[in-house]
Amino acid sequence: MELREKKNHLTEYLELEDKQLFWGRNFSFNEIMLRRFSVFINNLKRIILFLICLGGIVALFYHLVMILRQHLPLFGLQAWQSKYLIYFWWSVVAGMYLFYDLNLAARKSFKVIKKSFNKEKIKPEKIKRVDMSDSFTQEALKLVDQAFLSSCRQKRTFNLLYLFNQLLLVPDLKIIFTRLEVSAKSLYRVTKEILKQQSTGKESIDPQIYQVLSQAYFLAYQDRRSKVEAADILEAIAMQDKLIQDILLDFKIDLEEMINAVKWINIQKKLQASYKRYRAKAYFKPKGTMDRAMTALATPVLDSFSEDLTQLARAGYLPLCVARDKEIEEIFHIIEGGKNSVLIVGLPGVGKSNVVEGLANMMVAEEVPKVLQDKRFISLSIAHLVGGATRPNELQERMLIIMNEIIRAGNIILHIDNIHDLVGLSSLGTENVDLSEIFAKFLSKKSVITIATTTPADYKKYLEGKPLAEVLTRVNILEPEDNEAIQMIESKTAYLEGKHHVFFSYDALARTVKLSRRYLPESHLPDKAYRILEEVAATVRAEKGENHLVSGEDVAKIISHRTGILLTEITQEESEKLLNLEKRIHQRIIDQEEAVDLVAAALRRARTELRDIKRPIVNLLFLGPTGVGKTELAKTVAEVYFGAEEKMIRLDMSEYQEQKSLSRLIGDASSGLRGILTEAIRKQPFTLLLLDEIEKAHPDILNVFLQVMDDGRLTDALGRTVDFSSCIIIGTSNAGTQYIQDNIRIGKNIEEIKEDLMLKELKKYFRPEFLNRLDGVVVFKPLSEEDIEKITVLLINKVKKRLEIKGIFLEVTDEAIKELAKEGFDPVFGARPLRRLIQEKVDNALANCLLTKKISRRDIVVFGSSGKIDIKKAKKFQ
Amino acid sequence: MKNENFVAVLAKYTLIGSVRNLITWPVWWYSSGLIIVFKGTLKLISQAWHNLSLGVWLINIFRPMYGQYDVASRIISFFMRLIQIIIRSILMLILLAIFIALFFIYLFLPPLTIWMLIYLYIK
Repeated sequence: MELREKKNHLTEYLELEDKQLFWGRNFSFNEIMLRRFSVFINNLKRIILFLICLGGIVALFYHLVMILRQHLPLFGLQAWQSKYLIYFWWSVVAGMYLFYDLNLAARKSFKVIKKSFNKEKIKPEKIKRVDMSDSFTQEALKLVDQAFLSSCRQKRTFNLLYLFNQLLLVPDLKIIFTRLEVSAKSLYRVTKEILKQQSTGKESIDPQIYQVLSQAYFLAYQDRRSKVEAADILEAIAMQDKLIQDILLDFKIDLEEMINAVKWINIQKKLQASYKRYRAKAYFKPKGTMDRAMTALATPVLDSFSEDLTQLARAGYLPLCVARDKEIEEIFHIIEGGKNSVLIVGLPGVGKSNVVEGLANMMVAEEVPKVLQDKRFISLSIAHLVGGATRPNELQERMLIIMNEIIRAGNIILHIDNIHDLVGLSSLGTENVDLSEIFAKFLSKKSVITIATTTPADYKKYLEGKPLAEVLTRVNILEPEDNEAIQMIESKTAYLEGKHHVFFSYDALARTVKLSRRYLPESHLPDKAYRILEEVAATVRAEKGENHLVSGEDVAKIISHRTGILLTEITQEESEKLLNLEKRIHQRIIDQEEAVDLVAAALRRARTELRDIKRPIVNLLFLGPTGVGKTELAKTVAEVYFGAEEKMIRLDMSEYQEQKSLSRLIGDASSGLRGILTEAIRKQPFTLLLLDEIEKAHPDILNVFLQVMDDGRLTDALGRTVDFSSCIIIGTSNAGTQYIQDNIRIGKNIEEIKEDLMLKELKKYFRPEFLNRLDGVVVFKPLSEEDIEKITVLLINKVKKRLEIKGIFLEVTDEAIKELAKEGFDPVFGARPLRRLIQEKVDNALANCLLTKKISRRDIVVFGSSGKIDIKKAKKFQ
Repeated sequence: MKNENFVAVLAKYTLIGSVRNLITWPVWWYSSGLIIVFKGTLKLISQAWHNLSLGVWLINIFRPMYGQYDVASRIISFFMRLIQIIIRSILMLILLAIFIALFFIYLFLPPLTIWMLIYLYIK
């Protein structure tokens, strides 16, 4: 687009297709008033003329009745001499003038220039000047005038804000704002306030107004629409003005969202138009099996194994195809180029069937290349074909009859869904003759146009290198980009909205596409997004009732529910929980401040989406001697962040010391065995992956984790990609334990120890690239006696909780705790022996008491030093 | 903002326009208007031709119907098609006559009206 400033005039103009476009309507109070006045006069004039015509017709009718009554000859001069017929003839004059007037008006309303494909330059003198205001809709013109008038009334410069303010009153645009989850009313109030604050007294026109109007024209031109609408002005303003962008941002609308919401309205209008066009044209498509020339033949056998797509499309049952123009064009090119058979290859759910349905619709409207015109589009079902074929050779027989019918009928375009199903089919007793080979031969010899579909995996497995693949020309249908996918679902929302009586916001669609792409990698867009929207619509209707807006949060809730990943906005309660993570972790973990801080910070980053979403939430390596709380911390994180200790996948890496064991982790293609790791993450992507004793794993296995830690994804042996980006990966290791213990005994600082470890000790176990990918290496300190006492209290608390379920209360004296701590502490094994000790001393003693019925409900058991147990009996009521 | 003369603008939008329109009316009727109506008539005729699919029937007159290529079928088919073509042609002719009549009504309506008005006033 080229915008140039015209000399001696304020307006800016646009040059398109060798035409100079300018804004021809003056902004002046008088002119606007007069324009309105003249519109009024014109309408009045037309109504009067119409009434005169009506009167004339009545007069004529009356006259005819009179003639018949008087038995006068109808075409004789005598019958047409009554004086009052003057009224009739004047009404004819009025009618002719009305015809003239309406034609003039029709000529005046120009369409937006059509976008052409050849870019030849015409000489400058040939450039035509065109008034672009003629191509705006009446609604758009009215709102521009109205905006100018309100600036006049307030004696301020006519700027974009006035235009924007006025746009907020247009009903169609109110829908756009509703879709954006913003009330147009409150936006209107805000802009009105800002307008009030602007300086008064200077009445002029902001040149940006002309730029925006030109921009709006350009948008309509680019989209090949015939009129510039109010929505185009809105889009142009949002693109142009920084202040309005800021206001919108304040209402949580960014530019892209705004533009896409406007597009949504346009897509729906376009779909309506093409639906109407298809319906009108479908009327002319012959019903039944015959073509127009009546040369075709009935195909009874084929019909019993198939479905007539053209008849379905004719009846209006098939949905329209959106944003697949390129692929359809490619299919046409192949067919027109003489290669008759096309194989559409695409992942399940990307819209292969939709392309086929789109083709059927186009065939009904005859908007297809000549070879496809006046033909029937028949979908042959392989399942039907095979079903019930029990006699020897029956399958081949059926196939041959069908082929014969297709050739004789001569008006059939064949569609075969999942054509790979043909491979390997054969009748009883003829194992060596494959149906697909018969079919391939048929396709190559007879020129029958076939459009088949398959998936890439099936293509590779069953078709590649086979004769069938050689006769079919491949067309790939890829998974759509985010914007395309949004457009595709936008085209289907009307149906869902009608079915469930709810309305979708733009954010709901956008988040469905984005979240489903990220968190549901198993299925593909746009199908998975559509399914989710359907589920969300039903849920919202059940929860909130009819006529509610489905928001992005509703979508996030459903996807959260499906995947177990927290995706909804953070509530007040949750944000408090996140801010106090350290405290909550410390309820279970004694000391190890550094480790706890690191983990808590990583979790907060993850939840606020401030991390790199393509990597795991955090990759950590916990180092330290056994029994200091490495695994316990991991368990605590799983409980605090993921909701339960069980939300943790624990792999003991000492089991993966050989290279062979890699297949256990990621599966094995030859045996079809699924990987332990990949399968677990696929089922539960939002989880903590604990790799115990990671230094013991085979180096090749560690290499696999390099990719996981860097890209957040791993492809298993069966070719499926598993997403690790919602995982916390924690490796624990005893590597360098001796070094740590020795240095701590000397009294060396933990930081120094860590540095030494990274530079020297760890390199013996891990490669530098592995260490580089870690977000943090945490050295766990050996436990002090004081720590052990605290841990003893924690462990005793656990016993207390277990007893409370039975209605028994346990108290442990301080001396007993100190005694237990002292006895349970082991400088080599950390706190681990403590657990065993408590089991032996406390649990066993209590178990004996319970079995001998010494304690019963509501009793208080006091555990004292040297294992002495006192029981305070509660008062009995029975 | 320019300070326009109210009367001048009023004249521009209402009076002058109306007067000019009145003057150019007869000229328009037999120039641009005629072209519009002529094109419209042609469009109606071609639509009728398409809807009756006469072209398809004419092209395929010697092609047997229902894919039956034996001699007897060919002969039957030829006569069937002939009957179809005759019926469709008659329909086409009727429509053609109506459309052409409409075109001529457009052409001769103004002189007829003037003549009738003058005649009735004089009488």
